[in-house]
Amino acid sequence: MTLVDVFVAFCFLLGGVAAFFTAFHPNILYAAIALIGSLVSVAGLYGALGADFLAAAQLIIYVGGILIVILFAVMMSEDIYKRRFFQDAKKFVVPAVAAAVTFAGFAKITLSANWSNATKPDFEPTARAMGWALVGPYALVFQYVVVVLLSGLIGAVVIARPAVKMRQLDEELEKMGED
Amino acid sequence: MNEMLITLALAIPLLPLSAYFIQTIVGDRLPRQGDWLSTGAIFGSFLCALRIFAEMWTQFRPDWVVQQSWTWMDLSTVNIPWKLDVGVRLDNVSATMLLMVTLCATLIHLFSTGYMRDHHGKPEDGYRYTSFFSYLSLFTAAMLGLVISDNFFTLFMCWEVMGLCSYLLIGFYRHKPSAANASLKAFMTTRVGDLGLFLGLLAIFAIIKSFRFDDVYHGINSGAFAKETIVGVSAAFFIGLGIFIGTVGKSAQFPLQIWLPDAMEGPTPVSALIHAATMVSAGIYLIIRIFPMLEYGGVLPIVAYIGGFTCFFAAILAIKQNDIKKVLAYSTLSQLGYMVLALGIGAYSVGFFHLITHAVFKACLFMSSGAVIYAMHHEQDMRHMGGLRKKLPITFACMLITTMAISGVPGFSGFASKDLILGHVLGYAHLHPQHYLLVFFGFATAAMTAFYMFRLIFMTFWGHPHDHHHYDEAHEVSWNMWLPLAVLAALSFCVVYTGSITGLGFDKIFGHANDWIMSLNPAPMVEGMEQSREELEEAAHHMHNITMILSIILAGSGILFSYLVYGSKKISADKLEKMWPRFVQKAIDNLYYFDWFYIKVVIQKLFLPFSKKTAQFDDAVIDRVLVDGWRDVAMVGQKAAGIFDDMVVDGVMVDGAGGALPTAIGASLRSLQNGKVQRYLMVAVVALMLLFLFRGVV
Amino acid sequence: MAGLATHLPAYLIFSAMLFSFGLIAALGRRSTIGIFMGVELMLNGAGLNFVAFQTLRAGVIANDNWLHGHIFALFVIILAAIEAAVALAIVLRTFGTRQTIEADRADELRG
Repeated sequence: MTLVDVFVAFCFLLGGVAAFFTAFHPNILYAAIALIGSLVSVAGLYGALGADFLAAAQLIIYVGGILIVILFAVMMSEDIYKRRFFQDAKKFVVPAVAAAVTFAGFAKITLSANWSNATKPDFEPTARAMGWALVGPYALVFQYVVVVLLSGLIGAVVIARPAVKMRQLDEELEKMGED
Repeated sequence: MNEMLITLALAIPLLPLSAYFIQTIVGDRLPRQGDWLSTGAIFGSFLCALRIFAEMWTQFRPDWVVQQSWTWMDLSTVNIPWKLDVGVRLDNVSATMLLMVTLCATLIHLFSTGYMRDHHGKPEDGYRYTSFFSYLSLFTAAMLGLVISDNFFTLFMCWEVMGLCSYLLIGFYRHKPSAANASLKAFMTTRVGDLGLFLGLLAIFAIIKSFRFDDVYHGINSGAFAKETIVGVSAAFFIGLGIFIGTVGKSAQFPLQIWLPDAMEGPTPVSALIHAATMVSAGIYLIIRIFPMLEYGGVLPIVAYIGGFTCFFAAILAIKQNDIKKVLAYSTLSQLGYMVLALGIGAYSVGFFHLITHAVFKACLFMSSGAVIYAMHHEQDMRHMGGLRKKLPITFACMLITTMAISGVPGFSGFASKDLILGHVLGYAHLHPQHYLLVFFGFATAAMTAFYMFRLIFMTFWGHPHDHHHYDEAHEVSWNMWLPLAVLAALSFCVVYTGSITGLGFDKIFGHANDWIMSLNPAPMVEGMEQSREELEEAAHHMHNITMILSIILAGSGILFSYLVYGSKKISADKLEKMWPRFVQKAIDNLYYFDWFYIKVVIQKLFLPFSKKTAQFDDAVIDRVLVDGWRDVAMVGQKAAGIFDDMVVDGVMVDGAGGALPTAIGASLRSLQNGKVQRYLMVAVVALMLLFLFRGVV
Repeated sequence: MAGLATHLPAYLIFSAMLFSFGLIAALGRRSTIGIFMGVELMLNGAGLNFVAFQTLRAGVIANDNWLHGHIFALFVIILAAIEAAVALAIVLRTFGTRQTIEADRADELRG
């Protein structure tokens, strides 16, 4: 049992507990804070698996970026603080059953498979290899993701701002024609 | 040696680009709000360009080229033969362009430090001095990046960045609705052209799997484009036409010329830099780069007629303008038309020659008009000016020199290049008599150019002041505004380009470097075209003397007529105007109804109904049928089951049990569609569980 | 607990657990943000799966060194970022028009 094993076990534990609270905590603010725990633990596991670049990306983008956005959204709507667990305990019954069945399915598949021919991992810095992959075999996928990111951002802007009325546009064009 | 040149070439766009970033972030906190940073960066680029030009000059051979490219993307690792190389190409064309662009840009930056002084102030108070310089830097970086590109891919990227900068700078006075509209108009109109360019570039990549100029030229000569067809026409024609449409948008040729006059809403240095000297030249530069494809695909006659027509009808419009900047805007259109015309008849080096000379004198003309406007406290109407030559002597001298250059007076640069264009047009028409219309366009425009440019000079600098209040306050501009004018005016003499003092071809003084632009920039080799090129050169050579005499006569009569009407006022301008037929006048006043056509017909009659129709389709079909339709499906199922129930179950089986089932089906189907997002997710999870179940996992 | 760090099933079970908790949150939470947090958990579970397979079974899956699993995990992160931007916009909009972010109230599309 090495130090890495202890670290991985700690990450499992932290991630599991945090994920539990994320799902069930009555106050959504605490749930969001618990989500930080599970995301950090996933970053730790990335590190333990030798994915140094991903671990950093996970910390920077997820924990640093996305969670801030979530917390911001939580803070914005104040009636969130009042919502209690037991008020919608009933609503959790069906999802919990469904999730349990799903988990059981995954677990059974995992445990029934034969994993004996696993390779021994070799740990090297991955940033260079990933960079080459992004401009090599994954170049088109990368460009596609870029376009999706751009359109997603534009879409977000369009959704968040008040709609322009079609009639208003007509009037403006009318005016341009008269000039 | 070559490595050093490549490094210098990369530094040229990177200097203004870094200036842009620094300006954007900390510009407001720098001393003088950072104008020295932008100006210094572009001056550094100018020095680099000078070094590259010196190298070109010492080599002095037509096939000088230094290039290096790097792999950007490589899909061959996954067995797709796609490889995207980008790089730097320095040859005679790009080295000359680099020097011209960096010189003009440096001087215009310097000019702007004076012209935009009124905008000096804190951004909190609405002053945008820093943003102005940062936009200028970004624009210059994009233009220089375009020139050093060795491939159409980075060229296209820089092209689009320039479009963005043009939008930002035209709309710089954003509190003015006319400026905001003009910027939008410029952006949308050039977008139409960019679509053609984009399609052309995609077709190039689809056929030869590369964007590099060398590969394209090689592909043409090795017949890679010979057998391919796209939508029923030959691939070379399709590509050539598409890319030419890009030029039509960017260089404001007919029928997409509508944005350039409106673009004069921007500050005058912007008009000088973007809408006269460099950005609109990028379109011509693109034709120069794709020239072999145009020649090979047979697009050149279309190019020639578009160019000839644009130069002719824009000159007519320029005669009627009273706004000093509008006159220059239409003359830019007209001169760009000359370049396109020259390239269209196959005179490659002549078109490039005129591109360079025009950029220099037009930048000077615009800045001179800017100096006049500045001195007159932002009065742009020429009818309110007059007699300014005593108040603004330096500006007057520079503007007179450059006006003589654009009008084609011997001894000035415009004479040399325009004379060559006219000579080639005449030679071309001599070889192909069906194209004599082009000769008419070319020579008529030459006369009109001299007329309207001297009309501008006479109305602005001659006669008596019409607005005494502004006139009395007017005084010569400061050194940082007249120095650029003086430099550019000095470069508007013929001797810089041809080595001959008069431009008539005598007394050469450069030795072997006489006519350096012409001898250094022959058209890229295209197989099977050598003969027609030689014929054209020979015909143009034969026509040289008659062209020279004709063009001097035409320019002289234009100037004389202009003097009679606006200088000495021997002929009344009002009477002259009444001689035009009414419908022609009306058409000219309405700019030939182009805006009316685009807004009333194309947008209101075609696009808006179309978008409304699609919106209706979305409402009527997608929403009702596909979304609400599920309810109907459930209802129909229920009804069908009900009929089944009535006829079969009731008739055959006992009541009750058979009736409950269809209702239950309907109700359960309906509850699937309750509009709540979590229910939909639940359905997916149930599907997953069913999958587990059927695979025997759980 | 020996060799836990290189024990593939442990990672798979853990990621299945993350996925299941995410599913519960996504199905059971009332507020839009809660649902969104559940989705993030599910995405993380999937991403961890990719990386675990890449590191511990790379030689079995593919015979090259392109780090396919890492790339996919990276794309998951990027897409989650896009999702966060759009989700925040939707939350702002719903909150602006309805003064609530409960997902149950947004049911105009019901049949």
